[in-house]
Amino acid sequence: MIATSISPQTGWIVIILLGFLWVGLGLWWGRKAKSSEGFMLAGRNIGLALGSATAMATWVTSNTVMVAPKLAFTQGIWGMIGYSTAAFGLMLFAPLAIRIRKLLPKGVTAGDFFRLRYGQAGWILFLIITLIYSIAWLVTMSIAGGELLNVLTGIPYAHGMSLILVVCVLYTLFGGLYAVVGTDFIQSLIILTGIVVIGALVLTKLDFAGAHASIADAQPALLDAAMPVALLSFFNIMLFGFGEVFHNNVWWSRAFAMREKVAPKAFFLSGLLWFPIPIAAGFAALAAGPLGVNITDTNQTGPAVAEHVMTQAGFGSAAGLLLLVVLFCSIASSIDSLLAATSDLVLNDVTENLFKRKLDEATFRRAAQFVIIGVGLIAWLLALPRWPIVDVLYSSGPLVASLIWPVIAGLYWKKINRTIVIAGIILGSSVGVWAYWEPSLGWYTASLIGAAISMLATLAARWISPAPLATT
Amino acid sequence: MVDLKWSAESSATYQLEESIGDGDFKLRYEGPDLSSVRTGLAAGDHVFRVRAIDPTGAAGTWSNVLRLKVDYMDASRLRLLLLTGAIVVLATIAAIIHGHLAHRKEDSTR
Repeated sequence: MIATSISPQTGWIVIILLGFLWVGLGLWWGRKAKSSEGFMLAGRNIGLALGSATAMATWVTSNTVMVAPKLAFTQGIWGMIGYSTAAFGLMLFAPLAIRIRKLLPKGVTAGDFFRLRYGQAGWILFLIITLIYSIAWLVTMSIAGGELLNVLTGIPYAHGMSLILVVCVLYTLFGGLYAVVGTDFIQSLIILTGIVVIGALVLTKLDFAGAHASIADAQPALLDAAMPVALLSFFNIMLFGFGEVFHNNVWWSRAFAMREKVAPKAFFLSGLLWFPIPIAAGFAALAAGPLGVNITDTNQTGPAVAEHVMTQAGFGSAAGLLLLVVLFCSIASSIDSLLAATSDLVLNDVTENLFKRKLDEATFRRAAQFVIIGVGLIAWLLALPRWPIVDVLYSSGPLVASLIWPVIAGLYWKKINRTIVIAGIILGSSVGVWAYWEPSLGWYTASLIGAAISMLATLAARWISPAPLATT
Repeated sequence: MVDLKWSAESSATYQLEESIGDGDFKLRYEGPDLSSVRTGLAAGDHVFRVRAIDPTGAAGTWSNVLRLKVDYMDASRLRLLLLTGAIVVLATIAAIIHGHLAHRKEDSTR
């Protein structure tokens, strides 16, 4: 169990100082955003270092540092490796990014692609799926932030959650994608440093032979290479990751924002950098039993082990402080990206395409700020009652997995039957969500089932009365 | 995964033990917490019991035992789902590689 190792006063000071830093940097970088393209896409001029860092930092969410250890603790070796396969989504997005820039040289959001290739019906279906997923992700990050501040510092949940959200809204508001990418770069360095320090401490504190014997005695299934749930979640997590990266505007906006030659390299590199992070976080969790850490809440496995080894190493209250900074950065780096990408989607797709209202440069910035505050407010209202919205996020796995094949086909194929593809997305999503809640199948099959059904429908759509896809 | 909880006695610490099948009980946790999550249990029968230790070191009586049976998914269903997963993942990767190569060819012929 994690003990509150730093006082609420220290927690407030640390978060407010970090908040001032991020907002100050947001204001500084925001000066570059002189046009709508500058604000939404950072002038389409992001280089390799910033591009890789922003993709990696965005993919390091509170789930990476909280769920990866939980999976390792409950599913063992496959759980640990399985979570890291979400990196393949970033790596496979590298070739897709080349095609995206070719197909949509002036594209702004993922919605532009769905509207072009799948028409109004496909685009509306995409908007529904992506808004459910993105808002659920944003709210779960906000809830995780509030809960972590509460556990680590004793700051009341509502205060901590509001503080994190306000800080992220402010710097995204002032700096747009410039601020998001810049802060992500610094946050990624802090996250990597924290994970390397904690991983190294676990390695120094662990007697490997003793640890293996201890796990083999008390938790033998964790070492079982054929553990059914773990094997299935391996494919499920990978396909959830593919679906998330391939469809979400968080990644499309980065593909549009990076220099054309940089985008594929940056996505591949970010995947490589991200791959070992869940393994390091998960390894720490596998060591919980051998290190004598009693886990009372699986959601707190990672922080509990990290705090234990740092306290053992003589870090004292600095242990809680380091954890607070690393976790705050991992949560902020996802919240800011989601705020920016979701707001772009609402502004570009809903305002300009659904309501047919073209915004001029003068009104764009004001509208963008209004939308960012609005999205932040919706997230705050949904996070305040602390609903178990994490189920909404996880059960949206089959929804996004059902978009994997439609994205690939839309990017590379010349002809397709759009009606069959759209029917496949709806069927895959529906059956996948049913599987998620069906006890005999379980969450670890949902994305797999959704992706499989949609794949079959998309393949059928290539051969049954295909029509040419629009190119302009 | 099994989430075990027990009720509190003042100033006590607790011992949690587990027996697998009909084997001997083994200590799994000793400390002040009122719950413990046990993971990685092998398929089969598991028995748990808990007792309090007061500040003088005197042990209380063991609780009633909790018996549970751990089962994993049916092997034929597992094989089918794993095969589906492998096919979908490999087909997805193949479709991207094929599309990328076709894109490069298209680019070079222009």
